[in-house]
Amino acid sequence: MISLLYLLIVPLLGLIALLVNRREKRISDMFLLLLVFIVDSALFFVGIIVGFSTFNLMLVPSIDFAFSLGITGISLPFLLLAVALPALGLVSLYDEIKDDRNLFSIVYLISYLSLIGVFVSTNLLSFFIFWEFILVAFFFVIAFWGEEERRRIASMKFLIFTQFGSLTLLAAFILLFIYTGSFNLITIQSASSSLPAFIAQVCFFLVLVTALIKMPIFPFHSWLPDAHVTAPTAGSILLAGVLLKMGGYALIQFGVLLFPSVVRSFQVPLLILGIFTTIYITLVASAQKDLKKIIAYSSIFYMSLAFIGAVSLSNLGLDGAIFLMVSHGFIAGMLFALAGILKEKTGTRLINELGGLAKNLPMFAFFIMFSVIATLGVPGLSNFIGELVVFFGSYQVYPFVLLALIGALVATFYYTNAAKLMLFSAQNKKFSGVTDISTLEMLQLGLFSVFILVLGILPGILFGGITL
Amino acid sequence: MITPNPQYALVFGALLLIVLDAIRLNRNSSITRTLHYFVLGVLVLALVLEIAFGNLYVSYFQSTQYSYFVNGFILFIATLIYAFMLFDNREHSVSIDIVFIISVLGATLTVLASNFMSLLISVEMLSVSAYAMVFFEKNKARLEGAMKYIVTSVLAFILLIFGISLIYVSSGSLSFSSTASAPLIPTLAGIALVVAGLAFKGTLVPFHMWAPDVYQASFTPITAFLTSVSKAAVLIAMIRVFFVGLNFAAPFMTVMFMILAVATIFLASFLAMVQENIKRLLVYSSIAQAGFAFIGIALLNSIGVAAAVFYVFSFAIADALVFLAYSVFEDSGIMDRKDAHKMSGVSKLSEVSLFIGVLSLAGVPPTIGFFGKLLIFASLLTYGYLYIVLLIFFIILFSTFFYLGLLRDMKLFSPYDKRTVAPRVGSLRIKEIIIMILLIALFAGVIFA
Repeated sequence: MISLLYLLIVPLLGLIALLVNRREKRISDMFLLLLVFIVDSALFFVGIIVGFSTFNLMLVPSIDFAFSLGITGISLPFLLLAVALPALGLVSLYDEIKDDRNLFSIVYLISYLSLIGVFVSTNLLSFFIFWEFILVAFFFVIAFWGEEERRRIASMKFLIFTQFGSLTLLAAFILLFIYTGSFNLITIQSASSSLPAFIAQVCFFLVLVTALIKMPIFPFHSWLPDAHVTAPTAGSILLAGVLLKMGGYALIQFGVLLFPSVVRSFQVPLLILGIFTTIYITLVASAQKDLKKIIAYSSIFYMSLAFIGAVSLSNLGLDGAIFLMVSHGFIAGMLFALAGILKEKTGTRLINELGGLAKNLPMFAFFIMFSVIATLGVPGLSNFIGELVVFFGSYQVYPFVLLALIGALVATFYYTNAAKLMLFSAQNKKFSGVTDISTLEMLQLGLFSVFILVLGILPGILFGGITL
Repeated sequence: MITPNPQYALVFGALLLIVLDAIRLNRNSSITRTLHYFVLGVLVLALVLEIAFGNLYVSYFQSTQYSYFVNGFILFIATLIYAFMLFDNREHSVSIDIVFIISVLGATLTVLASNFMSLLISVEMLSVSAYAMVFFEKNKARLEGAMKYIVTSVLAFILLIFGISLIYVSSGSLSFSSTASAPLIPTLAGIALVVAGLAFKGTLVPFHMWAPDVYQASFTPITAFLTSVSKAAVLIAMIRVFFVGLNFAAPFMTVMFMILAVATIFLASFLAMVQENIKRLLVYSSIAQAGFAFIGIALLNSIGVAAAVFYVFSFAIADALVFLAYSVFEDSGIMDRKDAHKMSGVSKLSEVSLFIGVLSLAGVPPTIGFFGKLLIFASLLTYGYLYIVLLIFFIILFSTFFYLGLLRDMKLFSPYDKRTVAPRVGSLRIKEIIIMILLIALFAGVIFA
């Protein structure tokens, strides 16, 4: 058995090493980061085989504040994302961050540590501590390493939206504490069915607001494109890959699984909200010219599909939602890495200024096409399974969810259109001297593709965690 | 049987200091220095006695369940602030020492007062010595601050004493619990005036207007004392007055107090947002913190009171920390937000402490500021004030805006070589140790939740 504590201790040691390294450079920061990621991933995969043991340390008994770690039914797939994805962003970090890379590594590692912490905490207070850590760390990622002209506004927008989401989540936790007397997730799970109906509804809606902001879903989505466009590539990978999934995790863990009866009574409006978001967002995305914006809006599209799966209240739908989130984490990460490379090579991300890149950058074109095909849900790649299972699960409940397929249709249009404009249209003379991607970048994109392929061929490894 | 309580140590320490100052032969600085160390010794002794023997318990000064904890942290913070002043490169006279001890004594007695008359005396003991402390050195700005403080505080004193006499007229007694059986109208008027008088000292809107100017004009460690120790004592005294005394009109009072508290947080947060001067920003934030603590008091029940006591503790520690850390930078000429990026050259440790202190004021876990807000929210939700909680969420959003804006301006996270650096003034070693102790308290304090 591997204690979950080790998964947190390894990044912590890395953090200390980076801080020591800050004053006097002894080893490369990148090497330290790589070491942390490799050791942590190795621990994680060994842990999957031999099992994880829990950890519990009571800190303040009067408010039930304990540092307790454990694996709940749905946390393993998310943990896979949290452990593996930041490691894949390392090459982008190395390529793009020139200002004080040591400090960026520190912030990156703090986010990594807290992301793992979020998915393994079984005490709501320690969960919330990790949750807020990411928020503050990410605020500084955007505020200091973001694109010069927009970073003030984008960081503040990010902060205000997500901080409000955190506060509503905190209010839900406090309500749960008042009515169950505990911040322990397992205790709350067993007591949640006996909560007064009104309190259950209030709690669910508070969690729902958090999820709508974090995932994000229609009325609260406007912070995401700004944050993505402004953030550096490694930040975008983390943001699209794992941060958004925290919203999905909160929705399923604290919303759907705790209060299925409330979800059932509001199911139709929630599904309609999800479907509306899918259609609206794809229409918005199809009007975008900036590649990063397209990817950002399409992230919202996939998160709203996951939302539909989660509120469909069927085992299949929930499984599909989780699978879709994990798969989309890898695919969005790959797309953002490609967008970062594109900006670095050509100096622009506007798709109508580019053209004919496939001629000079064949490998780049290959990976773009691979990721676009993967996004669109071609069989054999991971998104296909996710979308399919979400629609299977939710169709059983309300057949009208198939309207969301309109969104998928439009997505096909704008992604293929973007790929065509960038790669295959008449070559822009300006970019005739651009060279193809380096071996390191190829390795990074190759690893992304491996994850996408493996999940597409062997989807069974993520299924079966939930029973309602 | 007489136990050696900390209050005795402070009284005799102050008297002895007056005598020693009067009989000394010459005015040279080495003797002044020795007397400074004597004051530090008295404060440490008081803290030890507080931990070992607890509080005074005589006729009108009686401890309640939370007095031990509150006086403990008041003495703890006061000792650290005094030690910080001691190692500052600015010399202060022995008279400042005397008023410092007396105001600490006043603060501990304010917490213990169980009668309107003893409350009045201890609050005035606290504030009269504070006027002198604001006039720390001969300097126009400090004089102006001290004058403003005296004028507004005298007004507060008149309101307080008028309110107390109204209560005395209607109930014939000065004890807090006497208001319960008295006729309603004069008592209510009296209570309203007492609220106004104490709100002046506790900087609640609309009685806060003196605070920014006075706090900004004073020497920064003194500001740390005023915003943490003095304000904490008055807020705790409010708990005693209203929780013990006001069991007759609780729902009505709760609404009134809640309006006062929310107005305080709203106005102070909005005003803090537009401040360019770091000290003024921190001052407005400390006014907002008082509003948060007052929410707990406004609930007028035991859960709310427990939350308020912890919240007062959490913001007292955080305010002491941020003002002391800021004082290190003020000496190097860093006053405004636009200069904040120069901080790291002065003292890396103080900069990190200021950073974490501000995060605590903003309520980011795992600092005690977060647990303070958690308890306040828990007490509000226990009694069903969901709408107030949602309202406060919006204010917290605004406050996060300026707190993190300040942190961003500090550019803690920017590369060394691109920084312009401000000069270091004097030796900072001991100051940094004091700031570190407060920083540890900021995390370890959660065990008192």
